[in-house]
Amino acid sequence: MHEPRSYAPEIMKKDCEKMWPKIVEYFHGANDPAAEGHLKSCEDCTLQLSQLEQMVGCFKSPVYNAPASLISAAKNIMQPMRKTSIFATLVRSNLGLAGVRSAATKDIQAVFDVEGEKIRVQYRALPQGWEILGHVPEGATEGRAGKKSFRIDEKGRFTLTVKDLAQSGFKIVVDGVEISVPAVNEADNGS
Amino acid sequence: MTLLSEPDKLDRLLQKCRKGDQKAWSEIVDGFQRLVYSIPKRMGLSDDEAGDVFQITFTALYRYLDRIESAQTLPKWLSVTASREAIRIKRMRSPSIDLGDMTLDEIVADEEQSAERTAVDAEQSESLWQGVGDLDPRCKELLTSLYANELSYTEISENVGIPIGAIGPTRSRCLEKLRKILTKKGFFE
Repeated sequence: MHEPRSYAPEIMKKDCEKMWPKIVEYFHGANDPAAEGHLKSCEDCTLQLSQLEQMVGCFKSPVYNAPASLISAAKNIMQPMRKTSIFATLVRSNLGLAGVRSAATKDIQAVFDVEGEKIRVQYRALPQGWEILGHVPEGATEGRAGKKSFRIDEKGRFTLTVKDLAQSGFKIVVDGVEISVPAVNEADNGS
Repeated sequence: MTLLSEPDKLDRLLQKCRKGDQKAWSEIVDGFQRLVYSIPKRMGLSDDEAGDVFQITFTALYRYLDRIESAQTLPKWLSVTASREAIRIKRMRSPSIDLGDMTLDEIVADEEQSAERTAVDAEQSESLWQGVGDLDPRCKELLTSLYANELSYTEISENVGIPIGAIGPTRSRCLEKLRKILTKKGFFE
């Protein structure tokens, strides 16, 4: 009586690896009794054959990329969220330089950054306080320092006076977005 | 884009979309445009009709972002929505089709099943092509030429630069690579 061969798993795996090209040919119509016989007794290879059928079957379903104009229109369904207020950050000033930070400081230059745009401000000491001369991005229409409002000209320049540097913070509006510039002595990081 | 096989990334994008993140929304549109557009095109709809299906599907997604249970259900949701819309347009185009003895309920159920089948096929197809996209260029070109474009061995030898005698063994190696890629992506589950 013929005893069925029993394979160690490693031998089975090697046989299966060798069978794969034959299974592929068998799938494509080749007459291969060895492949056919192996498939009858090997569940793994039978599974691989069905996976092969599945893969090749899917190739016959074409895919279509949508036109760029359609994709763009779909993306525009969600509009970018518009910020209504932004805080300016101090980029550099001479307030914190050694020897300058003292009660005798009469002239402070500072540059603030607002999403890549620069706001340049000069603070000049006056007997009664400080004069602030600012140069902000064009398009700024109005400004406010505390409760006081100030005019900004068409070139983005303005002047206002405050009693001390703690009141030097101000807000401007550009294209409907409020930009807050902090008081220069609060903004300085002591560098 | 391989969002179909990256549920974690898709989950993060969905959460961002719900907060109005337009960049995340754009990534989702990019990731699923082919899946959504292919459905009406495979059903034989014109470019304009397919465009309508496309826009309606993504508009619906935008409206119902909060109702998508998880990232894993999104591809199916998109496919089924696009399929239903494509069937609706097709039905409108041919109002005088013979419905035989089917009741209205049966017709609705039949169309729903059709939409589900189309959706499953579309997802599978998209998965396959994403897997093909992960193959090396030679395998990608060979398998596409063989099975999608159905070129002859002679044509493939000329276009792809593989000797005719080597096409069979190369095909076998490329199919094995693709099978392993797709197994990792859960294609066969």
